[in-house]
Amino acid sequence: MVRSATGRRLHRIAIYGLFAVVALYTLFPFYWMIASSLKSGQAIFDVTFLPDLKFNNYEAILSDGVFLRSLLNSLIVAASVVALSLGLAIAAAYALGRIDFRGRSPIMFLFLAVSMFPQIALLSGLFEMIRWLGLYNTLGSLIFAYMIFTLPFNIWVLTTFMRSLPRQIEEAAIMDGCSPLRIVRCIFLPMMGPALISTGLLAFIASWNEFLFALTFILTDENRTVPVAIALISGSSRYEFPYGAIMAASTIVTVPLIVMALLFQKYIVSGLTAGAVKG
Amino acid sequence: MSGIDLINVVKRFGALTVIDGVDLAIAEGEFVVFVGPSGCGKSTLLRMIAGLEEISDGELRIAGSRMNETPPAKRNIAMVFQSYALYPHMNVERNLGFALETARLPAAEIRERVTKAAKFLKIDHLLDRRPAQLSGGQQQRVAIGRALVRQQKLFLFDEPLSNLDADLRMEMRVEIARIHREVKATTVYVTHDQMEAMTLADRIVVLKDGRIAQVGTPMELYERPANRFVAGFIGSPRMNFLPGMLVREGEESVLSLAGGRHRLSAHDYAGDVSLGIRPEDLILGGGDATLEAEVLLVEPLGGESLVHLNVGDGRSIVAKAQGRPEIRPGATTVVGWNHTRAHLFDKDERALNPRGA
Amino acid sequence: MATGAIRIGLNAKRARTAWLFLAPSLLVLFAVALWPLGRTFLFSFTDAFLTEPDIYAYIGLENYFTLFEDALWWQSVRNTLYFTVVSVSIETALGLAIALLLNAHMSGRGFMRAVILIPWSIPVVVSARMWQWMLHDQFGILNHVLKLMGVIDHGIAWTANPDLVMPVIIAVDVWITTPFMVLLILAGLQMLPKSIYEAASIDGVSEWRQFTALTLPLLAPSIAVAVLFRLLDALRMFDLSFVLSSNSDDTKTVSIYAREVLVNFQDMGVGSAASAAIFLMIAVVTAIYVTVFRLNRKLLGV
Repeated sequence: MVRSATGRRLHRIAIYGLFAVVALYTLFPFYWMIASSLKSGQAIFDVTFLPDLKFNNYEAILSDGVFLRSLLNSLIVAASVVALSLGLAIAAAYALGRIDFRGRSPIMFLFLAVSMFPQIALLSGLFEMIRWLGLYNTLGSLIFAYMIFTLPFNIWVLTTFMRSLPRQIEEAAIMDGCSPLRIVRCIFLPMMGPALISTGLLAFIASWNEFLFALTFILTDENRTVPVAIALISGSSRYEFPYGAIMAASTIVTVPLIVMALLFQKYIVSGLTAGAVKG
Repeated sequence: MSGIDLINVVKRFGALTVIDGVDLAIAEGEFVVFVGPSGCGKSTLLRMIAGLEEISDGELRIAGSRMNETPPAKRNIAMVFQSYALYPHMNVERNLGFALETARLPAAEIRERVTKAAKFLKIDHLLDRRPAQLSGGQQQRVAIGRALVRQQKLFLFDEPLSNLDADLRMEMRVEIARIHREVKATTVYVTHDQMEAMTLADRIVVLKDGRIAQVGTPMELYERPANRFVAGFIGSPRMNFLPGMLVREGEESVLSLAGGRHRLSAHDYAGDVSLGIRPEDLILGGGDATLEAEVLLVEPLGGESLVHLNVGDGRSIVAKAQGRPEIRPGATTVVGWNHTRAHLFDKDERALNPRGA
Repeated sequence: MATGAIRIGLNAKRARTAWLFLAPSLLVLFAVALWPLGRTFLFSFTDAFLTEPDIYAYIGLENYFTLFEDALWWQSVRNTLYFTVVSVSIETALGLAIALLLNAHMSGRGFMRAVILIPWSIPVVVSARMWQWMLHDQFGILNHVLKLMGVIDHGIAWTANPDLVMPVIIAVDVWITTPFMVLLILAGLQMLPKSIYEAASIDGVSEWRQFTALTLPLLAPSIAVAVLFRLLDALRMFDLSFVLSSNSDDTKTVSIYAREVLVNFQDMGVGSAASAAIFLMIAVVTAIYVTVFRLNRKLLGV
């Protein structure tokens, strides 16, 4: 379509206007969260749009050992889940992506089906299993349970990626005397950087944010992860909610994710779409 | 001892038979080229020798022992791939040394062998580069070097030159011939390019539809093709074919073509035949036998020219002439050949020989 | 191979490697998904209690009768379905609109893509807390702004009012998950061949016609997959309701109901029955969706 110069300018203005609306809608809650977290004491209850840059709430939440502990717990859980699910998935993806064997398709289907299981449907059986493994009220229970939503997804995405790697490179490695393990470790792994970053980031985000299992399989405060810790912060009554502290805690939890989202946007999006479009 | 024996080797993919009973003995130090049109099974056969494809039936022996179940790495084979298959994340030096590293050789020895191979292939100034920073020809040299450093007795090449442009292809062809001369490894080389086959091979194996059409030295295949397929495949431009009829008349056979009858020495066969004559064996204006023809086109190639001729019935043939013949398109001329340079094929496309030959 | 058991073919060796590499993942998934699922179904026929899950007796379908006689269960089913249908519809429409907007070739597009990724990537609990604070009846920014604009005189109790709480939850969910839709649809948009639009423009097809006749049908598969993912997610929604309106029956989802029976009332039998029912419900919805989608595809010949 050929438009006049004014028409084109109006079109551009309209689009940037809409960009601004979407950005405001998306970002204002974050601004308000951060602004509120920087107001001290009673000031939070006066609605002013500019923060007064008081760090009382942060001091309070960070001097509370329990919150720091839950931050550390979340970090341990998320990092372990990433390492474990990637390790397992890389091996499985090699088998499913590079080897033609009977039973390949049913297994792919099984992984796909498992990734659709509602978590609640596993709760009682998983509860029993976790107790039986002696993992109840430990971070191990979460690392174990989070395999259910990270592992099938990672396997699926990495399998598609593995399959796209050139066949002759693997054959050259076979001729060079590599065992399958060495092929995966020395040849494929270095070639899979982008896919590993995508799946790793998504597994990290999912584990960092998970709530239902974290709420159910952890009993005591010192083993909780941050989402549960934030959900359980409460005042003495409904009207004395420590919103300043909650906003400060939320900000702390959110900042690493926002940084990740901004830095690795490309990888996160490609991981998401690889899981959905090719799935 | 590092010869290769293929004994009634068969490859099936499901219901499809791709290699249909191949028997072949390759001697130690020999350079054998598998050639054939795409889909003839030449690459599959090579991959079966390498161990990259399972052998469905029959037996593969290397240096006398059965290898069917031996994993590729234990067959003492080095292989060069069409796409070079260099490891993109390693520099040239590591690419060359990777197999030795895998075999846990001492670092000093790896360096020595890598340096030697790099010098030999004139890539010693590229050792720090990544494959992506190399030209196609350089990548090809690295791929060959990777096979060389392993110092195996057996080399496999899977269409190694088909990704290169014409100049480089020539250069690398010479290079591969030099390597074979100096290393003296038993070599199996797959290509669809009959020119590569002719120039490189000690013996050529022509494959068609998963079977061997003919095995022989390049000159044998050129001079005495066993069937019409091989006759058409070897030689460039292709051999000309004209349909005819062979009839026995007393102590002679008579070949009837659209343009006339020709007396030949006695053949046991009588019936439909095709006559095959290579463009370089056609003589403008002479020969034991001649046809009238209309000149369609003259393609000068410099030292020689290709003359396209219409010999009636809309059939065209190509003759190769020295220099630039003084004829113009549209003119009528006489084209002929000598009987000793003519090939006859029966209706099953097998080569026919005179009685007693 | 014909000549004895010692000779293992190369393909068989490869297959053995495959199973070896798969084994750890299969084992983990068996332990974390298949076995627990089986046990959940099994427990749904027993009178087990969470405190002592080893001691139980089979009581047939009794748990299911208890479950189906509970009005609250049916309300949570209604809530879940209502939430799913409304939120996914809005998210799809809004997601499509924003995706089309972001598909415009403008500078700042990459920045916008990163921006809309943020709500999706943070914990739902944090989003819920954030909105809870903005929607606070006395001190919330929303009521404050509405008061400034003169729309209301005194603050609205957004999450305490039974008529408002579900729309509020849906609105927050739209804020959280529209980005997911946008990104998937955007990926679909970027796979569309440019040449057909050029051809259509040359043929003088209007932009609106290009959208309805080209973009939408070509985009349908991408949208359908994105919707399926959202559907599965919405049907098992838990955290948002739990944090934003934990005590309200008006927003109780089936996941919250099942966990409440299982953990708070320790009734493993009925809780498992509810879990099993949810599993079947989601399986049925998925099956119907996939079948309808396939049928449509066939009819459209895509």
